[in-house]
Amino acid sequence: MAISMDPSVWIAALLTIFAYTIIFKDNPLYRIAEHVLVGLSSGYLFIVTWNYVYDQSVAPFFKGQGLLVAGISLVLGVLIFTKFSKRTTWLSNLSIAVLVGTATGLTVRGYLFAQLIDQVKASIVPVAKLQPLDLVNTLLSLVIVVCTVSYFLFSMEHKGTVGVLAKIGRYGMMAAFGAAYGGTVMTRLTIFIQRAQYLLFTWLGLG
Amino acid sequence: MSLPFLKRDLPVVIVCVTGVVMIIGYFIQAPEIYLGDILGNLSLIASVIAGYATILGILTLAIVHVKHLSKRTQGQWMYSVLLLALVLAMIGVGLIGKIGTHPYFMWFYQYPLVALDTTIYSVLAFYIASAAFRAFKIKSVEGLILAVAAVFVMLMNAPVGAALWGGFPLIGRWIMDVPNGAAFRGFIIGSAIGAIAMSLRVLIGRERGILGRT
Amino acid sequence: MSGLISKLENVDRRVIYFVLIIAVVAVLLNPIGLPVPVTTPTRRYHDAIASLPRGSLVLVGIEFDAGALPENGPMLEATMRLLIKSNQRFVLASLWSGGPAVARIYLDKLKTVIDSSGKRYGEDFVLLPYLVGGETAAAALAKDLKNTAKNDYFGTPVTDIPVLKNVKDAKDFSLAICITAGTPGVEEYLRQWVSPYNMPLIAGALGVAAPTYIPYYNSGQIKGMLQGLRGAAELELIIGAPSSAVSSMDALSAGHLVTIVFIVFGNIVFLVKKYQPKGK
Repeated sequence: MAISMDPSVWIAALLTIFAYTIIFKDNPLYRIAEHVLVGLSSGYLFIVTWNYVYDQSVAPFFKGQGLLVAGISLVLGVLIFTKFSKRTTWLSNLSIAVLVGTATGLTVRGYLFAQLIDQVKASIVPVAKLQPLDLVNTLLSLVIVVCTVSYFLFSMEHKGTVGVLAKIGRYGMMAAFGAAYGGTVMTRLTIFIQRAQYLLFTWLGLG
Repeated sequence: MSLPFLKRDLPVVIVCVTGVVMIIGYFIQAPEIYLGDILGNLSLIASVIAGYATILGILTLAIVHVKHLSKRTQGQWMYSVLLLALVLAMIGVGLIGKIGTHPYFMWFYQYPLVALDTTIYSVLAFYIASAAFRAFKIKSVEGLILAVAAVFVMLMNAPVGAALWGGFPLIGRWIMDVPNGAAFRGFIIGSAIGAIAMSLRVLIGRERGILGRT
Repeated sequence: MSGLISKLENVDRRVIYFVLIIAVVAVLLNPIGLPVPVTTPTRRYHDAIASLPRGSLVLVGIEFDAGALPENGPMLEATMRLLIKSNQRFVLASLWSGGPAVARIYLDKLKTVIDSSGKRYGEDFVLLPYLVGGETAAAALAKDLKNTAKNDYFGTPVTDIPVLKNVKDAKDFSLAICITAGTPGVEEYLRQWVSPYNMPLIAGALGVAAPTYIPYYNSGQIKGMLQGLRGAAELELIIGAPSSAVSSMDALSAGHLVTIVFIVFGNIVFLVKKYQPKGK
């Protein structure tokens, strides 16, 4: 057993233990860990964001290139800070409008092809040359897709045919949520295992 | 242009114009009016605005904690001191030399930040285990389907499943591909229709809430 | 009997935590070595990289940060090993703030591998800084890379970086890899890289997100996929470099078994209480 003598490892290990105390109850050690995380994350995010913003909207003025785009970015970016005053907050809406309009345009064209048309196309598969098991799976998938979409038709009551479709859709969704639950268990256990490995092997030097 | 127009209607006009330009530019090429360059630069400007908005968020967080400090909020102000000190330390170290490349900046990320971020995420593993015993009660057909799917997918993900019985990963794979794949495809199609409808409402000015206070 | 059932139903949650901790720690200290069969999505992920002509330019999107490091980190490590081994050039980019820092952690970890392969920073691979804006940044990067990332992570103008010399937009890349913990991630790449430019995309997804990306994999929009730590372990085995993912597999099995036992046992207790004759 060779416990680590690296102060960095000790700091990481102690902060890990502080954070784990929350599973018992809220306490000052956890609050310290929480505020250390928020403080470091905020500082880190500020630096990496400022790096990008500086390169795009400030540095071009020193280089004498791309002044128009840099100027527009700088003006619209600075206008965001008018949010601090109720009198001038409307100016920030101009910047937000550019952001929202651009993102909305990207969304419409992106969702239309990548997530609507391509996914509908993938549901409609020529069945003539499929093996029996693939045929069953393909037809079952198509049924579940249609039923899942019909579950979200809230402008009509889920009775009769629509009710049956919605019920099948609900069963399909339960299978999907079960699969997502299984994946969640793997993700959270993975992160816990990594922390346990760090404490046992890197910090305490066991194994 | 009157002040009410500038405050209320100009943002909506900007949303509409920028959105329509982004959509049109996807379908037509018009190099003579530099449409491609306009699209690229619009995306760039939007991303820079998002950056300034992020900085605004961080400033707001700092202001909240400065208020705690100035009012000596009981049970909180000491933690606010710690938080603000670390924010300043991180920013100070990050501004040394080329922004964000100093070894101490990386040290702050690699040791305390990684340790805390991963630990906070991993706490849920305990809550999942606790809920699996105390709350995961199968009371209906839907619950049974969810539980069976979850168990088979877990046994597919973990090597012990294949070691116990070869059927576990096979059935788990089938659940992932067929019912799960189909149901999530339904979600994707439904959410795509919803997103497009919502985007069109935003572009024609029917959703003003996104623009905030005037 | 009803007293026992009642006690089991209201068992202290700390007992449950203790059982989970003991199971995981015991297996970590005494690994079993269960085999890890390789699945088709991982095989396709590997083949998408290995089948590229040597010297192809690949975009690696590091769309995760510290919180997802245990699961996405091994995927990134194995992917970078494979890119180096198959002699590809690559650009490391990130729409997540922590992405470049994560990249630096793994570039440092793989320093010996990189040096022994003869690969050099700037000539064979480059690290771009954090690109703010999510989907708008992804769109801007695809449209005009050098205008979106004016400098690399270390401040060198991209016009001075040899590996980016002839790169203008997404069409100059042969493959996009998205290793992601959420949004922005796979869907942003699908909307802004795959759909407009017909770019082949492979993905490494967290276990929690992998089920939601299966429709894209089944439709062929994603050519290959690593699903959680299991996918990372499979890739490590395929490339012959077992690392942190493979070493975690036994503990993962123990944790999963404990969770399944809790679900089954909890429901047995529930059913016994439900169907117990009243008065006992």
